[in-house]
Amino acid sequence: MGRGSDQIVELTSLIETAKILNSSLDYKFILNHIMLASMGKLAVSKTGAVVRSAAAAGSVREEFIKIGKGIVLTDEVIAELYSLDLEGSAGAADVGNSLAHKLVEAGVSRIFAIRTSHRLFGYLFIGKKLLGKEFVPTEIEFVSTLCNIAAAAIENAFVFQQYKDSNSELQQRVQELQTLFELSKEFNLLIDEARAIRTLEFAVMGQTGARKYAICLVHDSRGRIVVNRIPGIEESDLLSFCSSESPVRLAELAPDMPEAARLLEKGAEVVVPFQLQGKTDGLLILGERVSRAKYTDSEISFVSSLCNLAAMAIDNARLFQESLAKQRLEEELSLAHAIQEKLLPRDMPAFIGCVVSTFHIPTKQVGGDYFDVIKMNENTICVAIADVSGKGFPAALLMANLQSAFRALMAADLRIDQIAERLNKIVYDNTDYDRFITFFAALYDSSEKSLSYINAGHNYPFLMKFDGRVIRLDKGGLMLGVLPNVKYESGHEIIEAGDFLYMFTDGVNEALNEEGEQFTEERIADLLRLNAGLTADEILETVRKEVASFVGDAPQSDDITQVCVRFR
Amino acid sequence: MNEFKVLTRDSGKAVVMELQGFLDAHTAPDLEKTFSELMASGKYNIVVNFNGLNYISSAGLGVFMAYIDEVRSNHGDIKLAGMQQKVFNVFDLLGFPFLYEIYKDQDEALKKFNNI
Repeated sequence: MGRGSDQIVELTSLIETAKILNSSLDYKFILNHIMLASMGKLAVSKTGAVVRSAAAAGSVREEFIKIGKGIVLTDEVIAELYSLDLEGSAGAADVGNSLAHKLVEAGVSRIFAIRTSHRLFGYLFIGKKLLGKEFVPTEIEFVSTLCNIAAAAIENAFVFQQYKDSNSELQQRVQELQTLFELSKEFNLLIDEARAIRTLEFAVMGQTGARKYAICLVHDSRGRIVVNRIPGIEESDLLSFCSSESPVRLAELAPDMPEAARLLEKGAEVVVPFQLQGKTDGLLILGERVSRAKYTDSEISFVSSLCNLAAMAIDNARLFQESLAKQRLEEELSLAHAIQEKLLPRDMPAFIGCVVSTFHIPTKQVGGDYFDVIKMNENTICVAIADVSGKGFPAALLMANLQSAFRALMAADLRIDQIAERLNKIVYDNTDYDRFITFFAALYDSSEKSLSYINAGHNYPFLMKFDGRVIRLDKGGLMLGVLPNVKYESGHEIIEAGDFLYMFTDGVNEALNEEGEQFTEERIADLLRLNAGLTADEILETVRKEVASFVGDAPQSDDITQVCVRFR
Repeated sequence: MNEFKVLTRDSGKAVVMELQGFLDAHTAPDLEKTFSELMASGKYNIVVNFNGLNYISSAGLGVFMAYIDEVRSNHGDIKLAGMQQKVFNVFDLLGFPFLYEIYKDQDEALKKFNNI
């Protein structure tokens, strides 16, 4: 065959190659093809090739794609070659300085640049010819053309790869946004701290592929690790991060910050704070991930948004728990209140010789007022009134204790002063020194028309005589519960038709108006005197109304209790 | 609402976990519960059949991450099978094929366990 037909064959094979290469988007395939074609054409047994991957040029994913058929070069040699930015073809020995030696040592005989007019993509390395011959110009020209075709094909592949990369990056962003959207919805529904943390974990693991991570909640600049999948990390390692405001890469801090270096050594890479209203509420520490790639800035900012959402959910959960606890307490309080109200007598039995009326307005809380009306027998009734110091549960418990003790003692057929002595002992034994009870009890015997009573430090009840005299029932002794052994002196009064007894607690005389003035016992006395002709119910109602109009809009500060016994 | 269901049944040396519906942050706890039950009963050879799963979000993916280390440290594996394209795309996008074996169908995945 002549030279012309040789050229035709060569041309045909080049066109064929161009077609094949241009239809491929795979660098390896392209490199492989030109390597094989050169081996065949030039009769060499060793070739190698390298291209810089599409995402190269400064990006984090910079890497070389190397293929060798007998020739493999180190990354350093390749990097040096890239910096030379060769054009066309050169003998390995002609490449400057120490490089030539390294190339020849690796078996390279000639280098061909794979490039377009504006960009170097890579190099093709050709080994020695089989019989040690030199390359002829047509051979070099053939391989150069091959490399030019390959460069065009690789450029295509690059553009496609870049498009694919940016497309996948876009999809990543979309996925991140979806996750944020989904979690903000989910976090709104959550009222449980543990669940909120778990949801955050799933989202972080799912989105970033993190396998090693830890979550630390921060309160008053102190950390509490709640999830730890980075072995060896301790709360003390995180102290200096508890007030960080933005995410940090430990590798960047490590040279100047021993704490960062220690965390880095334990496998942590990034610390992301949870920020809520300018405060750091927690830390997410990211470690190794499935792909082993570094976390990108955009991933870190995504995780940071996620953490801030979680901080809100965790805070909401805490507020919810607090309000739940408060609600439970209020329920218990109202239950106690209801029980206490039931302890007080409601239906008044009929009594011979007198009518008893009672009136009680508790404050909202459980309180310490107590009154009782007990029918002892056909002729005798007992009325009592007391005020336990303080408010709330302790006062209510003491009141219940007083009632049961009093009722038990009443059944024991004791004198009223003896009852007071024993009650005093019981209250003294059952309480601290700062708890005491003012107490008044009276026994009325309708057959004898006599009233005997004991007053242990209570506001003196009024015995309003039919003829207008006022007797204050003040005989007795010290308040219950102050000293262990107290003697009480009982008082005795003869009762006549038209008398009435009025008992009250300090909620009446100490009721405050809006100016902060007290209602006073004088006002009570005046009212009783003016209304002496009324029934027991009417008397209590009159005092109530007067107190109410005196108080006006001021809030009720204490229980108000009144008992009236109208004698016939 | 978008329901999520997970059914499990034994099949040879493995357990098949069949997912249906939508797997997201809201339904993830259901899947978590099933996984932790399997862990508690010492079943570490798991084939997850995705045939009936119409949607998975990142938080849903996170559940698989949460258990893979425990499963593998007990000489088991979580193998995934029968994904719809859009579900696979999410796995692929987030780089999960690095970590999990993904099969076309459940039987192929089961064979891997039963041939051990």
